[in-house]
Order: sequence, then structure tokens, then C-alpha cells
Amino acid sequence: MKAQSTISGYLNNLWAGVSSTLIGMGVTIRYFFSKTVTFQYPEEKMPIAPRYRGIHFLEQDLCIACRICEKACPIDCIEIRFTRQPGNINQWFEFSLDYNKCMFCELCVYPCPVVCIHMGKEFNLVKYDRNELVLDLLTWKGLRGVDETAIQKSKDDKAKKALEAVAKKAARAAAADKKKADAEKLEAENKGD
Amino acid sequence: MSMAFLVTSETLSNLVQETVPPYVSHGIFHGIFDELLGGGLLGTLASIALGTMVIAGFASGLPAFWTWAERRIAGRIQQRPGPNRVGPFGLLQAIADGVKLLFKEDIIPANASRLLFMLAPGIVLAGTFGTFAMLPLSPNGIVVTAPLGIYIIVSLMALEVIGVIMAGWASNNKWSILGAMREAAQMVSYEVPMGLCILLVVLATGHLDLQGVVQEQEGGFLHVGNWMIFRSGPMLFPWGLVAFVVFYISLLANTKRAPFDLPEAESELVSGYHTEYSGMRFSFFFLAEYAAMFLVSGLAVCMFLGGWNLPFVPATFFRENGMIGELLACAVMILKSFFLVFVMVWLRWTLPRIRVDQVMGLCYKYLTPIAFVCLVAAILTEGLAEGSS
Repeated sequence: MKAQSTISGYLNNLWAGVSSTLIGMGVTIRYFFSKTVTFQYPEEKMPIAPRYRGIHFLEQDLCIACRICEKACPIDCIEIRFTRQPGNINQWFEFSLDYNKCMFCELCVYPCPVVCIHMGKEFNLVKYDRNELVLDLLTWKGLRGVDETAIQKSKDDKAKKALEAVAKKAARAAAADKKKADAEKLEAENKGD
Repeated sequence: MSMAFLVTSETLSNLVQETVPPYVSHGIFHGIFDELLGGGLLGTLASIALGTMVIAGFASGLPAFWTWAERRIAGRIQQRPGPNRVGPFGLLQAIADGVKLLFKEDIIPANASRLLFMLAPGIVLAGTFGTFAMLPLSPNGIVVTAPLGIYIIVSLMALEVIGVIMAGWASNNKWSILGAMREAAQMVSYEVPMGLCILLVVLATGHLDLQGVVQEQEGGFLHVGNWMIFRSGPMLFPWGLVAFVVFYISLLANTKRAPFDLPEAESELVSGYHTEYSGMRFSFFFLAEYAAMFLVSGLAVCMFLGGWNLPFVPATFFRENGMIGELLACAVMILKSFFLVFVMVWLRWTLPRIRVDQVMGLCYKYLTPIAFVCLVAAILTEGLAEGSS
């Protein structure tokens, strides 16, 4: 408010003070009666984005132990230990992620040839000891239940891929058949000539 | 000389009756003990003791409620729920805070003036709590019926300044003394418009005790017409309403509520005059502030909003229904005061803190002249009308 020495300035000042206060009070009372936006955290959780990058989970039965994720990791936080058994069965010892280091870049997920490692929705990394943050994905079961939809989605993707593969094979077979038929036809025509 | 102290109960009783000023009787509790104890000194002392306990309980229960309520209201204004963990709706939050403060270490700074440092919170608390005795909650619900009630209330409220200056000076801290000086300047300044508004009400009603003031506001159009806030004067100037607003703003400044919370401005003075206080001594200041909020709201209700009177309800309803009427009147009075306290909280979370020069400018350039205009208007309507009749 600018100090004015005239009577009209004084009254304008007065009016500005009263009206601006009332406008401000109107704003606050509108918020007073509006809904609160707080989530009571341990009981309620905020909706998590579909592509949220939380703690990983591993589908062990799909994993072929190719170690591509281990190589892809830019900060080397994945450690995989296993032995190959006859009959292509893996003897697993460890598939651990060090969450002291992990920066949740998702670079381990993309190169996986069998889509068996995923980013989960679990975000709670609270532990009493730093060493507890090295999680063995083979034994740690707290993750999977959190994100059934992602597992389903990955399975769907895989089924789709399989279907596509089948369709591609069929198409390839059909193309081969056609080629063969064409060749036979050509041959027959050639014979006819 | 020793004989002078050997007085019988009877002579002591006579002595008390002679020395207790005739304008102080003891309200609702008067008579409860008279039959049991045969009147006289014991009855008087017992009724005063009971009254003291009741106001002390009432006055310390209110801050407990309002610390919680203010945080809830502040939360809602900022779209969050506020404290909701301790007990149903977080209602026991105040008790949890109180217990926490009780267990905190009581620190007295090494260079503080110990006696004054320890006395100050008590004086602030006594000044505020004592005032509750003169606040009528229902037609007979007053602890001390004093014909000079308003006068005593204003004097006791002024006692708070002394406590605050003591606290500020005794703390031996720059922030504390700055906060205390601000508080003193602010409260002394704002007593001018506040006093003018009180003068106006006293002039219009012809009473200095709050019960009389409330009685004068009974009746009228729809039983609200005589409320001081609806009085208007020459050329329909609504001096009642304007005086009420001026009075309310002065009360905000007097109770150090935002936007006039300069004495404890966190951004400049840490927490002003109670920077060095901790534990229970700090909570005494806190209790006094919140009790004062209710007290000044009650004062405004009694003086401008018709006390326990309701629209469409004749005042005789409260007077002639015995205890139920008294309790209903008490509920109305408390709810009206709570609304004014709510507006204080609402204002606090709406307006930013203003500068020191703006505080003084508002008082001397705006509120005081406006209060004078209202006073003149009141004299022209009420005063002259009474004089001619």
C-alpha cells in the first residue's frame, strides 16, 4: 500500500486493506472445506506409476543364467553364482543385487533375452544394517507378491512373442510352401514346354 | 503484639466482610456453601476456592483444546489433516504435548536474572487466568460479580505486559529483549483503540460490569436488535459494526496473534521473549496465550454480540429455566466465543506477518481515528437519546 496524504488516498488505503483481507480469507476458507490430499502412509499408499522402477524381481525358472544383466549393469551391483549341471539345469547359488549401489536405471532389464528380470513396485529400502541391503533375489520373496500385474504382463508379452514366433514360423513355412509350389509349377510348366 | 493475631473466627469473619470491597461478591458459587458452613468467612472462602478451581480448570482446558483445534484448522486450510494420531481425531494431542513439556529439562540461563526469570511465566499466566473470574458465561454463571468488571479485566490483561517485559529482560538475550520491547510497544498502543471501543460500549449500555452490558443487549428486533454490533447512528453509520471490527483487530494485537505476532516473530527473533524458556515455563506462556484468545473473544461476545442471547429466543428463556437455562446460555456463550477464536485462527493462516511500522501505523493512523468516529456517533445516538429521555 502506497502512503498517500489525501483523504481519498486514506480511504482507498483502508478499502484496499479490508477488501484484500476478505479476499484472502475467502481463499483460505475454500481450502478449509476442500478435501485433504494426504495419504496416511503405512495404512494407505500412493498409487504407483505403471513403469515405476522399484526393487527388482526375478523369475528364476525362466532365467537361463546368461549373465547379460550382470554385464549390462553400469555399476556392477549384480552378482550371479551358479554351476551348470548336465541336462542344462542350473544349480543356483546366488543372484544378488546390492541396493547400496543400485541406481534403478533399468539397464539390466532391457537386454534379458528371456524377460526374466523386472523392476518391481516395492520401494521400501529401510533396513537396520547396510549389509541387509544386499538382497538375494533367489530367496527374497517380499517382492513378487507386490507386482502380480507386472509378472502377468511379462508373461503375456512372452506369450505374445511366442505367438508371433509361431505366426512367423507359419508364415515362413507358408512362404516356403508357396515357393516350393511355385517352383513345382514352374517345373511343371517347363516340363510342359 | 501477639494478641493481635489471636482473633476468633467470628472477628476474622467480620474483618473479611469489612475489608473485602463491597463491589466484589462471589457470583454463582455464592450460597452453595452458606447453608453447609453457616455462611460467614468459611462459606466465602470455600466459594472463592471452588470458583478458583472451576476457572482454573476451565481456563487450562481451553488451551488444551485450542492447541489441537488450531493445528487441525491450519491443516485443513493447507489441505492436510493435521494431528490425527493420538486418540480419536488426535484429540489427546494436547495431553501428549503437555506430558512431553513436563518431562523436558527446565533450563535457566547462567546469566539470567533468576528470580524474575522464574516469576515471569507465573505473572503472565495469573494475569490471563485471573481475568476469567470476571467473564460471565450465563446469567448467573460468573465467579466474581464485580460492578467494575470491564475495568478489572482490562487492568489484568495489562498485567501480561509486565510479565512479558520481565521475561524478556531477565533472559539476558537480545532476541528476548527485542521481542519484549515490541510486545510492550504494541500492547500499549493497541490499548488506545481497544479502550475507546470499550468506552463506547460502556457509554451505550451504561454499565461497567459485563453482566449488565449483556442484559442491556437483550430484546429488540428478533431478539438481536439490541446487540451492540447492530447499533447504528446518525446517517445510518453502523458504528456498532465498525467498533466491533476495530475492537477485534485490537484484540488480535493484544493477544499477539498473527498478523500482529511481532513479539515472537520466528523469522527475526527466534521466538521473541520466550526464546530462553523451556519445559513447563514455556508452556505457561503458551497456555496464557491460548487462554487469552478465548478470554478476549468472550469479552468481544459479551460486549458486541449479545453474550448468551440468541436470535428468536427471548432472554427470559435462559433466566427462568433454572440450571438447564444456565447451561444452555453457557453453551451459547462458549460457541460464540469459539467462533471468534476460529476467526483468529483463520486470519492467522491467511495473512502474513506485517512490519513493526505497519503495526504502529495501523493502530495510530487507522484504528484510533476510526474508533473516535464511532465514539462520537455513539454519543450522538445513544448518549443524547438517554440524556433527553
